[in-house]
Amino acid sequence: MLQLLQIELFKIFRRPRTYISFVAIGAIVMLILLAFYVDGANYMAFGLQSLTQSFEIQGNVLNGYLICFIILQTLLIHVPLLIALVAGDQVAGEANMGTLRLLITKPVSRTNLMLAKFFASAIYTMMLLVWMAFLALLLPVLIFGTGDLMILKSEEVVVLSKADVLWRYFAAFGFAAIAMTTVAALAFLLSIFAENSIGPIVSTMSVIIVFTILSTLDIPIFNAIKPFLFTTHMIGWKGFFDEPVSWQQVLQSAGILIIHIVGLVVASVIIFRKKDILS
Amino acid sequence: MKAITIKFSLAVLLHHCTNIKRVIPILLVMLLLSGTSNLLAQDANGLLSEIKTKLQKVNDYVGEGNLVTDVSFINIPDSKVKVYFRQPDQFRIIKADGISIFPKGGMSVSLNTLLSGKDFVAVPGGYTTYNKKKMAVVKLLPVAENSDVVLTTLVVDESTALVHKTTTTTKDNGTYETFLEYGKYLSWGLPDKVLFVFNTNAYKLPKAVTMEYEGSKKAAAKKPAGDGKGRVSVTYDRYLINKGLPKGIF
Repeated sequence: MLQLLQIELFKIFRRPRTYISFVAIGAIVMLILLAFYVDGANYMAFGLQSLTQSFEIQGNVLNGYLICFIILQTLLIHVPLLIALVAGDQVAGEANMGTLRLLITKPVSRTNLMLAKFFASAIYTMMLLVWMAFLALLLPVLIFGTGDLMILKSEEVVVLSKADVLWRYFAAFGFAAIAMTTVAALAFLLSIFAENSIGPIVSTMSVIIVFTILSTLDIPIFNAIKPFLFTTHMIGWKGFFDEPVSWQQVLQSAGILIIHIVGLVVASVIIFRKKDILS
Repeated sequence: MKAITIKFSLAVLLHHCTNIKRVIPILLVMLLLSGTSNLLAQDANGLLSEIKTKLQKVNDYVGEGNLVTDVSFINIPDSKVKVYFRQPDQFRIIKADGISIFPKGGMSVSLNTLLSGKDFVAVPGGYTTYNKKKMAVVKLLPVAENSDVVLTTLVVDESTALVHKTTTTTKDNGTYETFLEYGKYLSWGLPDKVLFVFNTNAYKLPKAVTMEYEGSKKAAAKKPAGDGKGRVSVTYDRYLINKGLPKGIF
């Protein structure tokens, strides 16, 4: 199994397009940092306009912790695409190149093969998140320093003490790893049905976009189905920035996402085991 | 109005009374009565003057204390702060490496800022019982026409010339109250604790445009609605008075 995993990881990291994601995240973070460095004060004045009409805010609001939060908020919507690029290619890519049939002639069970491919996708997802954490947290902190973190929500303004922020980011990245692995599992499942990786990538993104719109719209008819959409729970990392942390809700969301991962991977294995491989 | 009343009374008296000797004592009583309100106004001005004199002993101070914010839609931890004041009305609260949020018009967190360097017309408002003690009520009307403050009511202990409560009505920032408790720095007129109370009904946070976590919304919905009042208090541990302030504070 370990050898299979090594082979799958080798395949992933041998392809130049795997590194597109790392470069893209690096470029986006750098652009955001540059924008805040040059014109952060105006951005903050605009963003806090509604609050500063009634309240005076004193202190360094624009610090590394806030920029990290903004980067995460921006990137975690787009990272699923970067994950689908690799996970959606795992089986469909082999089918497209005509290597899938050859692969399953090897003395390896289809279950092990699928699990190795999924874990390889999951490891890629983790590495992408570690890269994102490194860039989104470490660089802003080095450039803008640390301080209290102020977050504007619809219901309240939350200010977290400087000393109480870092652990929340580690927890949030941990939660984001579960959320992004769910995306990887979905793309992986869809990858089984296609013989070209574009199909599963586009399908995964379509599902995420539609579900996200349903999760975001505050319309009563959609409110009833929101709890059943995995995209509603994918932003559970934000729960770590509540004070106090709504542990029950966050753990429930994490649990639902883990159930999705297990369900999608089990479905992938079952379907692949029964699939007639013709390509 | 009072002058018209006096003239009318005099005409009636002169018409009906032929004996001038009978009129003089009545006139004297009326003059005495009409002068009473002027004497009270002088008392209110005198009291205000006493308060200002006490406050003017403090040219500048640095207060170290604990800031507690209790506003239903602001979730901010209690924090250690430094409060800087310089005559006549420069005032700033600084939390080292941190963020602090105050309602606009919160200058009356400092009584010095509210009263120093400003001209008021003081009007006596009678007496009231505050903290089981009889205290004078003084109403202050700002002289400046463009002043944001419309009316300030002070509850003052006449024996010490210390203000224990203020109620300020402003043009733009609503009405707010300040409660002051005195202790170690009583002789300087500086409070040990200031509680600032303001209305929060008028404040509305905008709906966020970014995706919000449903779990956070549920947790926020469970919180009690509050009484429509926001409270900010500063409990001072110590003051450094008239020792000068570092440059660039204000």
